[in-house]
Amino acid sequence: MIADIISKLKNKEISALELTKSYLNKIESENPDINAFITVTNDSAIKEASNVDDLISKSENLDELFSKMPLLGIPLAHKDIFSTKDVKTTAASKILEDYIPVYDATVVSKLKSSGGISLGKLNCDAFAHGATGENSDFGPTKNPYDKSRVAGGSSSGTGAAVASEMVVFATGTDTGGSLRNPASFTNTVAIKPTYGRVSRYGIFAMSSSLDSIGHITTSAEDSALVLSQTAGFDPFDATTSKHPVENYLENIGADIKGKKIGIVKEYLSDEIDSEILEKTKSAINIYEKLGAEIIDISLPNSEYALASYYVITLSEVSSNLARFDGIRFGFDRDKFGDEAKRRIMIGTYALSAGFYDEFYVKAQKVRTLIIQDFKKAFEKVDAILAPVSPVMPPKIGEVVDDPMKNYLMDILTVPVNLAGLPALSLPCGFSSKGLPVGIQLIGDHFSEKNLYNLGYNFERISK
Amino acid sequence: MTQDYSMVLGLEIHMQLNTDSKMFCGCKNDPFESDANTNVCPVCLGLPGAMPVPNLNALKNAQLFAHSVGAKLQTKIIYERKNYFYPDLPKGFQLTCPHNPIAVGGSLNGINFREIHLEEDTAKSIHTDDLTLIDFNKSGVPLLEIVTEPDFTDIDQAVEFCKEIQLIARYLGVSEADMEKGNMRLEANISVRKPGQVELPNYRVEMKNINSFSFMKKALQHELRRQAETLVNGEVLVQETRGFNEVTGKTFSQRSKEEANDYRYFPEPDIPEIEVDDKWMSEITTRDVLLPSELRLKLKEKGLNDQYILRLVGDFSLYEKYLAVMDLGYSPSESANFVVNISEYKEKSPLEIDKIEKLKKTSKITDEAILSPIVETVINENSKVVSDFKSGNASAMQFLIGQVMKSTQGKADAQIVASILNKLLA
Repeated sequence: MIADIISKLKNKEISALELTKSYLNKIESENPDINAFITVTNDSAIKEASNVDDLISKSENLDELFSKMPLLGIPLAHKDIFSTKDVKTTAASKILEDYIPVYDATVVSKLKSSGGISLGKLNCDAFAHGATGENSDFGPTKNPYDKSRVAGGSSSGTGAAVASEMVVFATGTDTGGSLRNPASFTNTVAIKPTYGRVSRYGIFAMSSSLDSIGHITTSAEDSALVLSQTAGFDPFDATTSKHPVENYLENIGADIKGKKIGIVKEYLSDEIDSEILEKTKSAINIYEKLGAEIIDISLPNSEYALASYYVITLSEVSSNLARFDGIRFGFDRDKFGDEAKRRIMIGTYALSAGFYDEFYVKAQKVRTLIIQDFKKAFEKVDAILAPVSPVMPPKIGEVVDDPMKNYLMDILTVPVNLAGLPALSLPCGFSSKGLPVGIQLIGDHFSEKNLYNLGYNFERISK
Repeated sequence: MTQDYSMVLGLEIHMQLNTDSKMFCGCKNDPFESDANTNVCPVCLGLPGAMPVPNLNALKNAQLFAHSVGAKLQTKIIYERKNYFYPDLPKGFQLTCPHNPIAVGGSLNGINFREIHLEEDTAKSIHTDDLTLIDFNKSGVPLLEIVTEPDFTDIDQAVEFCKEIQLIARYLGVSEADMEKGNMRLEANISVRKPGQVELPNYRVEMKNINSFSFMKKALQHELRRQAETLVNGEVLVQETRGFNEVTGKTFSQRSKEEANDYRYFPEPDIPEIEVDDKWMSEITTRDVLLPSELRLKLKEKGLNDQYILRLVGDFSLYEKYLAVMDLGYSPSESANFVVNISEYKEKSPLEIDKIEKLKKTSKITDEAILSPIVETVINENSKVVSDFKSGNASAMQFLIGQVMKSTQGKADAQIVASILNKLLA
């Protein structure tokens, strides 16, 4: 899709201004219903688009211009936990309702220099706490495929905005499934890159040892193109890797014959929705047809992943939210929503003297076991195929008052974050009720290129 | 009364390192000179999304210091979050390395180190009548924490230890270690026990905000006496933090143990474990540095007396001046005399000192015919001293020579003046 738009801009079939205006119009007509955006930056978007048109009209070598700025003129939006200079960044929480950052997150400035045009800031669960988008203090985002249902979370606005074509692509974060889950609920593609592949600098930390910065697109190819712009070492983030950024688009359509795809028996339990299981099996069939070798594997410590994840993440959350003290910016702590308060209390408890060893230290030990499970698996396979969500998108209000049900929605996504692995979530058709279903491909560290190759081939058959 | 008890004393010394930039961001490290809140960025303001990146120069300076004082460097350093709320702590936690510090163990002058950490300083609160202002220039300044075992047996020893630590930091150039400015801050943990008792007492009193060595001495002396008196009176001592009021000369309770924080330490996920490999380690341990203890020996070998050594070692710039004077061809004791004793030379550069000395030598008055009348005048004007001399006071002679020197602007040849004096007063 991005490639098509770029070629139209290059051939001057459309102008960047026309393009941006058409997406802004879409936001104007769709957003009141969907509630994907918290802030729309109309004026700056139009100004930037005009600048892009200037650049294009003055350029003597368009190929060079677009190779330097591969996203030139492409309308996008950021999850509202990405710091954007001079643009309100609320984290979807009332405590930051008036907070305007003084700096851009690294990913925000990288996408600016790639030529992307930001149309605004996207709704999400407040501070990225949730799996349905309903923990937003600015109201839930609705699923474009069924507006009585949630769009997934926490990057709810990211998935919904891309699915309803209010932007070409959008950024988000995935701490325990927060990109893959909304992508699977909105028939879109999400990449959760390897931990340390994309800088976290400037993005509000939820759980610092698990947060992964990615995006939602409508195709694997677009996802690869955007990742090639956001990935890489950042001197402002000590956890980013110096591992070279590969050309993710190179040979993206290469044959996948003989590639080994693992199916995890623990991920296909009876607790998973039967239609989702069925769709996962059809995906396995597609890969078999494409010539991949399907191998049954086991990740024996999977059942402990969710408990380990919530102990670690809530501990880190309790500390990360301490800076919101209302002294230098934002409002008082009584403006925190229930979910933030719940997480602060549980996390503080888990880190307290006398409980630390029993909870935090033990959870880290489990984490090590989970990493070892995956390590063993990747000795046998090139990627793992699994469902994303154990349930279909719930009705708005269905799980919001049941934190346990909400937390359980992460059961198939959190192991990936615990192990710091990359995963690509892909659309896999629709349920009998017409609701989107997604699958995920999980790879070894820094194997994003392989995931895109597998995803691209899958899309060609399944679309 | 204090003799009935022996002291148990350990120290915590904080020192700001003088690196160019702060501990976890690129901001200028200049907490005292700049206008408030000018050396700040998202990181040291604790803005959402900001992340710490450790300053390797600060780490290396901390290691150099730790190695130089005899502490044992560690190969693995892990930063952790010390969680607590305070207005001057923008993130709601301080980054420090409590469990995997820079150095563990080792000793200096018989005092064992428990550990040496490198952490970040907090911002500065400025209290006015009706509001509190916060200056974040100090937020994130590299702060070294040196913790000793409770090995001190007397207070003077503790003061000397702190002075030596200060001197070493200055010799290495890693900190100004200025107590008045607050570059260097002391905390003492003091308790008492019966002589011969091996186990540590079941309480300790933490003395904070010690801002000078003389303050330290007075505060500890008082606190030692207070603790002994309390026990003699049959009362019980409790774990607490106490301050010292210089006006009343007494210590007072500031905070009791019940209010102790639970800091909920856990490893900082934003900073990967720091592995100090062999190459890094040898870069620190093989660095060519001069320590005050080595300089003392060196000067003693040159034949300087203890007074000179104390002054030259205690003030490195004075020592450097001494070296520069020696370079101009003067002997060690001559050079030491010039820079330590002669007040006229205090503000003069080595070259200026040399010029004056040369002038003195070349224009020396040796002619008895010129000197005799001057000597006579001095004798007439100082009859009291003259009678002292005659009654055998040797220093009277020095005084009279000095007077002659004074009226000749130091040009008279002292030996000849002495012989004239002897002749005239015989």
